[in-house]
Amino acid sequence: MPIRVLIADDALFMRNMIKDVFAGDDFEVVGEAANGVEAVERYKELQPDVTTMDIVMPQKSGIEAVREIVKIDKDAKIVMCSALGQESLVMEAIEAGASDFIVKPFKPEKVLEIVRKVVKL
Amino acid sequence: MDMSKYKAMFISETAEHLQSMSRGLVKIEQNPEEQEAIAEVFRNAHSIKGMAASMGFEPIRDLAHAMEDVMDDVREGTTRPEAEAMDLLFQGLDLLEKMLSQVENDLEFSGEGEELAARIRSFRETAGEKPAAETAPSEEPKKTTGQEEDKPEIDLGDMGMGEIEAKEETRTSPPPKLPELVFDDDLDFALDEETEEEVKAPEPVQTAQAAGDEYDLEEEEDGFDDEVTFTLEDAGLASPPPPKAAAPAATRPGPAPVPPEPESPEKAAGPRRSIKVIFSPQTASPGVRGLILFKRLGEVGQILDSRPPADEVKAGNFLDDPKGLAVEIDFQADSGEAEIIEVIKSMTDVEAFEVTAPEAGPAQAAAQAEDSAEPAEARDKEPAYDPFAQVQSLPQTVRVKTMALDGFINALGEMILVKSELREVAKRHPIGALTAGLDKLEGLVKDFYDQVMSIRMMPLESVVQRLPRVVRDLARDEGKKIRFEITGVDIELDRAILEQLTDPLIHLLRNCVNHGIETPEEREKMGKPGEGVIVLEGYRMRDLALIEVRDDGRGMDPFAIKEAAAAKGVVSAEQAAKMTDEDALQLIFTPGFSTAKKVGMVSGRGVGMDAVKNVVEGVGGFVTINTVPGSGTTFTLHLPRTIAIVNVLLVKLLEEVFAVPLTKVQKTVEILPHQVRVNQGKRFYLDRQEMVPMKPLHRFLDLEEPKASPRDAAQALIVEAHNRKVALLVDDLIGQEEAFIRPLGKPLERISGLSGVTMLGDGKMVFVLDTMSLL
Repeated sequence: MPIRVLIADDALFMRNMIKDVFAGDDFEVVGEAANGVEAVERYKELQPDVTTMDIVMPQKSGIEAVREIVKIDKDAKIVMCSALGQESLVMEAIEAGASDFIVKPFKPEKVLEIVRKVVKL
Repeated sequence: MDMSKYKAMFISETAEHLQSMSRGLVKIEQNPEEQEAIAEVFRNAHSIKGMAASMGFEPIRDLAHAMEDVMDDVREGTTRPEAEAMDLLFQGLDLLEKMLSQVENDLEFSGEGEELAARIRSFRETAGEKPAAETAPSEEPKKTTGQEEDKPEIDLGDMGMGEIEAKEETRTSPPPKLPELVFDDDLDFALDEETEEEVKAPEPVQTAQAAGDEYDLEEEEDGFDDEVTFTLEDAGLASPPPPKAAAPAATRPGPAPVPPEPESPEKAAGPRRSIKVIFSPQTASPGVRGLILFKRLGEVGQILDSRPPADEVKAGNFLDDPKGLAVEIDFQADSGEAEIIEVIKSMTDVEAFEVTAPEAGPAQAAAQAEDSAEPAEARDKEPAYDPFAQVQSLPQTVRVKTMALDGFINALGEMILVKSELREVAKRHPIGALTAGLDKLEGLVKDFYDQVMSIRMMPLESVVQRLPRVVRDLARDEGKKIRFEITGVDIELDRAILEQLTDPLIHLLRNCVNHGIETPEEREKMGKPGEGVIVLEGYRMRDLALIEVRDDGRGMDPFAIKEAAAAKGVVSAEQAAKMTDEDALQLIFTPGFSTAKKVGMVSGRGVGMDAVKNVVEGVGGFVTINTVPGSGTTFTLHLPRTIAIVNVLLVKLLEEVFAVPLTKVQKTVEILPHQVRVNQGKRFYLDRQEMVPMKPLHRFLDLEEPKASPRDAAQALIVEAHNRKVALLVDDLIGQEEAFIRPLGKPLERISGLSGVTMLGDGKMVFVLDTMSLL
């Protein structure tokens, strides 16, 4: 069974890049969201194994989305996509219930490693 | 004490503060309510004052002091950061920069410093609510006021000083209920008061020692705290580096050595273990990694204590360990060792870890904690407050001559070549031991390469600090309102590349200000907000560092550029007519075009632009332009992140081998006959849905082209040039190699399409192709 991934990022460019990272057989990108509101909706709908979540997104930030998703599903596995210098936001997200984070620009193998580990948590 | 050896440090650190101050002042000018910037500029002035004082540079000290006082008033709300105050502060900044260069060149100060300091003081007196006596720069009172001044800073919770309080808390408070207690920013302040009490409570136990500490540190405060603090700040990782506050804070940890008593035994059950986790030194955001570790461990047991304390870990400060960033945790849990190891293994970037099984039963362990073991630990901890120990524990701050770094890279290049030579030998004479040794050597060289590269890397931030000031000044000269944003400055590039970027970036920004952004009136007429926006953004893509400079101004019109270029004789009218818009935009980089003036919308667009292109291409990069007339222009610098050693793809054309930098190659493909489409006599490779023109690489090198035999599969490199994909056909793909690229030198360097030469392991020289200029 491939790991089912939801990608939330307001930048199409980033979503595509992340999608490429998950191109292997072990993963299946089941959905994408371009803002926090969509992320929560898609999460409810798709129940992915793992969600990659950008922090700064319009309408609803990634951190807000994490809070809502964790309320719905306390075992949700969410990996924050951060840029360097966003450490305090990442920490806020972790405290809100995100499991881990990756730092842009990311190395594909690192992303896969983290996602694989997070799913096992 | 001989101060001369500190001079270089003083210069570089003061320069950093001045840059920060420059950024801060620009921010405050844009938004007088910008509390963070206000606090930052205050701290900059304060730190400069302290350093200058210890160096004996009185004029700098007095000027910085005067500026600090103004910033203090601003912070207190008694002075608005407006017209006169801001002018004086900017003048102060400029003069401090000037005086710093006087220090650097061993010149006498000119007396302007005193003069401006006096003007600032009298400004404060007239504007001020503060009694003049407090600002008088007389020597004697200064010492006392100096210390008093420091005190309020401890209370600057809202300006980032809270972190210091938090550190105390983790040392002195009962076993923290991680993660809520320690990590919740909001809670920090709520807990401060409690902390104060806790700090006091255990004091009697340690009276003698605590008092001793306090005494020593008070003594050192004047002379040393700035240096220590700077060292901390310099370490860069610490997100909350509150200058000065370190010393006053350090006077309080007297009681810190008190063992953290497990006061809530109802939660603490099971055997105690000590856990040591070492994160890779390369890990991004180590503070967050630490937080995750604490959180996950907190889910299976209880963290009793840690070294460094949790909040320091969160701030990215770890114990030094040859293997990386270490944290030691005293942990108590019912769960078995396997479960704990499981948790640690769920972490990323863990270089090594240790879980030490309990030596004694839980009860004994607790007792141990109360008397012998922990205080011993605690005593070990103490030197952390010794300024010398601080310096020792921060090897990141060692300054290296840049020449040494260049020496490394040359040596490394040679090493790689020698390694490849040996590899060739081993191929011809396969001896087990030789091959095994080579494999090992290869690993070592790779490690060395990574490390050399990482020391050479510097964040983009280091060259963009002055830019806000540049934009501000340009905008003011032009009577334009501009908001300048800088993001993504954490991307790292080789310093040799960064060093060359300042001028091109200034050229690009000048261009945006002068020609891109319209006047407020024009903008409003077009329905745009009066304030224009210029953004400088850095990010990474594959192996490249990209730097975008974009504005929301009037954009460029390719037609106007073509006309202008044709009129200038840069291109013929015929050529111009044939040009694509993209090629037309590239015309602004041609030197001839630079002089093109009075062509309306594109007026002067080329000034200095050829220099931009030259620099960027000189380091192996390229520039692209995107523009939408009426809504703005984006210049993107595509830069290699490292220099000199490049991964290349070796290809064969006829009997010749050529190298193509891997960064220029999107992928390599074998094109099968059924993937080829022919349209108007031209062959295209059908890449998924996309028709990619197929071109033999031979054609661009004046080599005899192979006869296209439609039945055979063809090897090709997919490259992108001028925003178009091309499938370059080659006779054979040989493989990938790390190449130490040497410049061609005169006169070969003038041949376009060749970016250098590299030597293969067998000693054969191979040209490195620059596909961008070739196609």
